[in-house]
Amino acid sequence: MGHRISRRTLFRTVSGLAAAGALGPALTACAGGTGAGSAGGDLTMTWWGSDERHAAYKKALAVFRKSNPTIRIETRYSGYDGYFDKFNTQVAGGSAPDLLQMDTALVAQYARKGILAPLDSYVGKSLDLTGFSTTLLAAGTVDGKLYGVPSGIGVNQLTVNRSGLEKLGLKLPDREWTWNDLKNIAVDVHKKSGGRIHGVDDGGGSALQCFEIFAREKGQPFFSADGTKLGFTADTLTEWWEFWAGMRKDQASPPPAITSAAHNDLTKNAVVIGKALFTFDSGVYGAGGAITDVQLDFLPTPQGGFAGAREGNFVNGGVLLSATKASKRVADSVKIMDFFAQDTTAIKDMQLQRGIPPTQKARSLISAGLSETDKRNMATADYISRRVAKATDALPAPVPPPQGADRIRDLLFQSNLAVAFGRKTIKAQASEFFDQAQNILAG
Amino acid sequence: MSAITPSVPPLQKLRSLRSLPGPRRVLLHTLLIGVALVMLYPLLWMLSSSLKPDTDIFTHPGLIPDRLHPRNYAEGWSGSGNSFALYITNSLIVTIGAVTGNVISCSLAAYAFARFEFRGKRSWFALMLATLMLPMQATLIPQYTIFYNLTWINTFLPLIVPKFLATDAFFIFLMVQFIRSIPRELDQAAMMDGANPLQIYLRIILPLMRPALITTTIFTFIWTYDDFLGQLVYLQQNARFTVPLGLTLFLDKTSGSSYGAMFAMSTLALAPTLICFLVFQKRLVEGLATTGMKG
Amino acid sequence: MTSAKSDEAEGEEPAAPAAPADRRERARPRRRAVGRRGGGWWPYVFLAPWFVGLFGLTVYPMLDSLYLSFTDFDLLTPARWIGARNYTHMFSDDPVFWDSVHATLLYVVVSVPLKLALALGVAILLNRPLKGIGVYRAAFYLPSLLGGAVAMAIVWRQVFGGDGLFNDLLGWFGIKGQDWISSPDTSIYTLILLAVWQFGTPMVIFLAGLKQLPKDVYEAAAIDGAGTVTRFFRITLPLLTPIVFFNLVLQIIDGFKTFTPAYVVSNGTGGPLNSTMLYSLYLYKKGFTDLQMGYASALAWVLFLVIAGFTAVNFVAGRYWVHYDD
Repeated sequence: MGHRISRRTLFRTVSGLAAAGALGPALTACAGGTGAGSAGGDLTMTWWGSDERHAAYKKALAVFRKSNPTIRIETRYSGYDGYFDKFNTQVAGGSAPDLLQMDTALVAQYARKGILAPLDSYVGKSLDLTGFSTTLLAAGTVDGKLYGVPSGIGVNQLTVNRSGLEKLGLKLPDREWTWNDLKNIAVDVHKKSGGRIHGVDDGGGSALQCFEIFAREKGQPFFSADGTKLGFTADTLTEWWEFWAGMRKDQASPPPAITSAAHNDLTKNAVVIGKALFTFDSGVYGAGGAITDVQLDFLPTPQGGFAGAREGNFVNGGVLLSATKASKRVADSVKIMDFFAQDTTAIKDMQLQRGIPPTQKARSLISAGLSETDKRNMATADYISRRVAKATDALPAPVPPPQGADRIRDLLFQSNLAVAFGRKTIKAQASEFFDQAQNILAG
Repeated sequence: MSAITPSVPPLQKLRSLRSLPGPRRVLLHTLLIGVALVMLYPLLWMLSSSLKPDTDIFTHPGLIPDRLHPRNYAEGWSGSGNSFALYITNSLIVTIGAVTGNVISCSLAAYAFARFEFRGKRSWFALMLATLMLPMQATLIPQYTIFYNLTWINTFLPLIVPKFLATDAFFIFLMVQFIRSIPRELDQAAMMDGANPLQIYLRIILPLMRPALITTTIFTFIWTYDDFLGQLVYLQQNARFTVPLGLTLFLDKTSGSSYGAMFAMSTLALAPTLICFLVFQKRLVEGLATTGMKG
Repeated sequence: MTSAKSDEAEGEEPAAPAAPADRRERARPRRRAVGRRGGGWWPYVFLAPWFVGLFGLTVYPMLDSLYLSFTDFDLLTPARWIGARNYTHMFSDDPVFWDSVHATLLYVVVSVPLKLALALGVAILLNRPLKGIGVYRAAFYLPSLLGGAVAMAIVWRQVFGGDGLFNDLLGWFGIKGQDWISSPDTSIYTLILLAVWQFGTPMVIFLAGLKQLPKDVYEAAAIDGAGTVTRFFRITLPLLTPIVFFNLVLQIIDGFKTFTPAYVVSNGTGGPLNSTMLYSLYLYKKGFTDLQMGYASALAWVLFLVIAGFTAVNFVAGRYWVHYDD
């Protein structure tokens, strides 16, 4: 920070601008740090989420305030769009919040840049993480240090339009199923619906929900352990794209126009618009905010049908709570994290708003008040996490994704689309993918 | 003023001259209505969606709702913690501040550029235009630092004060173009009568450039009201949120969205801008009376 | 048209020789006026707020971003000087950059003329005493009121989606549609259409300009018996050239800088296959999503130079067709 300030001050002097020069003293005054939440004032806490999540957070925090009257909290919340843009601007401008909800996909990037505070020294003291499994905590752990407390267990599930399936006279597949089973039922859906409905949305470009698991079934992680390389081979990627090319050819998956329209847009998801019955996009079942009136059910991502296939599923951490390093209130922030991790009323207030709660204790606390769909979702999640825990051949939980991971996922999506639109052959696209991904990871 | 008020007869003559014969008028109306309908269809769809339950908006996208769900409006209005009325109020504060600032500061600058010779005028003018050309995203961070050091973050000041400093070069340029089409003879005559430049600005230029001022008012109002990025960055407390930020609270792709409420409030949020437009476009017509005569 | 042309020639014949003399005559008092107005401190008084804003809030951030364009700056840690590497990377090693250049040029070249023509046409239609004129104006302006709102984006994706209104319309004519938004060949045209649909801004400026036209000239023309078309090309258009010029310059600048529609309609992706990756969207993604603010600043300055070039050409060309009254 000091360096940046001196650069700015220098730049001002050189450019000799009267108005800017007047700001000089003010700048020097803040050179001490990023100035997050002064020691005396309110502790600022930010999160993103839906209306329901805002309400739940606020309700829980009201309880916290009662038992901690000395900690004044100022809350700031919004939707996900723009949340991290704003956070970046705040860090750059030196006004980051003290405590924030963090994305598991971004925690490594911010931790490595020295933006987040390590929490290890608090664990077991003011931060009680009893009941959190190591695989779960891996979601907030970067280079061996804990930078965020996971809010829940995140597992990848396929969302199924169960009523649509029943209407076609088809049965929900068994939880122990393979990619081939997926292909068969998707073809059946297309046939039985008279060609109106494709089976499953195109997963060829879906990294997190889909391809990562397929690669792990082959014993290959998405990123290498140190986060500097891709962990899978070109053969794996080629085989994967060939599978989906076959799916599109058989009309088991929709044409690329539908896939492309649904990118980042739930309202155009193939299941929502009635063009498919299976989707890899977990957003279709959002906590409390369903945008389709069909009856939903859930399945684990299919398993590899080949010899030597390993357990590919893994458990992730929902969202995280992290403190910023420059904050003078880290200890207070940790108290709030602890409150959300263990306090009975907080757990009850949050319900499923931040994913399925991370501990068995929390899960049993909330299970009574859940809807049928919520229960089904939680049951499948339970099933998957138990299977993962039992599996002896599963790879360790994925490392928090390195910087550029978002761009690589987007690249995977765009590449699959380019193949589907017939712009590139699978082979050419795969080699291009590896070139560009290496470039991104090299920075 | 009397020198520039048009005599009544020519205006009437003009009206009669311009009103169209019957069949052509019908044709014109038909054409206008047809185009207007195409233009408005997307807005009608938004209105219709604001009356549907969330589960129907995208699964039954037709214009006529199967089931009515007017509760969207109540739910959107009460929002989460803050009433939508608060966001509209905040937006109006920012917007009215910005309009006042732009009208005053830009007309002053435009007057100087259009009517005076001074050293380096062409270069200054080029520099003014140049400020239009750099994308805002590139200067956002340095500007943020300035306002942070002024401790203006979380206030409306970063959104209003720059307008009083004529940072919207668009409007300076607009007004320069308009002032240049006002005959110089008028201010020369006033100068002969002993008026100083400030008096000329107040008595001749300002009244004569009313269409430009109204245009500035309408655009500043709407653009400020709709601006997202600036408000996103500078307003951080939810109590300071404006309409565009308030609308984002309904949508979260990670944990569920309330599309119905969002459409309802988007529809409602059109009202202030629509009222502004209707009021001022009428004045735009009245502008005819003041500036109708020239030369 | 031939008659219009001969009209024009006849009309100008007597005026032409008078013009230079007139100009010379007018030059003297004007120079005097200029002397009085130019020497004083008056212009600086009027420009004072602008100067403060220019140096305090605009020039410094611009120069700062120029400096940043020569650095590696991730927003979170201090910037590091890397010389011209951002610029060389852009031109030699960044395919998405060229995608965005392609999309942006297509966008500007197609949307600006269409938008201006429509705006001028509608402004002239609406610039007459007609019953309910205010309602029409509002109807045509309403789409522009929406700006870049999220709601607007969702609506647009709906209209041009696979089962959207646009395809229904085509269906009436027996044409089988497609998903226009999500096909890489057509998506940019939906953005162009969106720009044209929101033609309210130039329309209002044209309207304001039309209001300021001297009516006596029209009367003289009407008495001469000039028809609607003749009147438009001989009187309206020439008198309106300063406003046309303004709209053209600004729409081109704006077109190059277009961000919000591309951002919201593509849900921030610029897809499919970068076909709607307008330049400013790419710049924004680089700066704020990929945290490469140094590179984004370099992109901004390249754009700046391109726009400045276009504007300069515009101003030079404008000398030949824009008529000012002063």
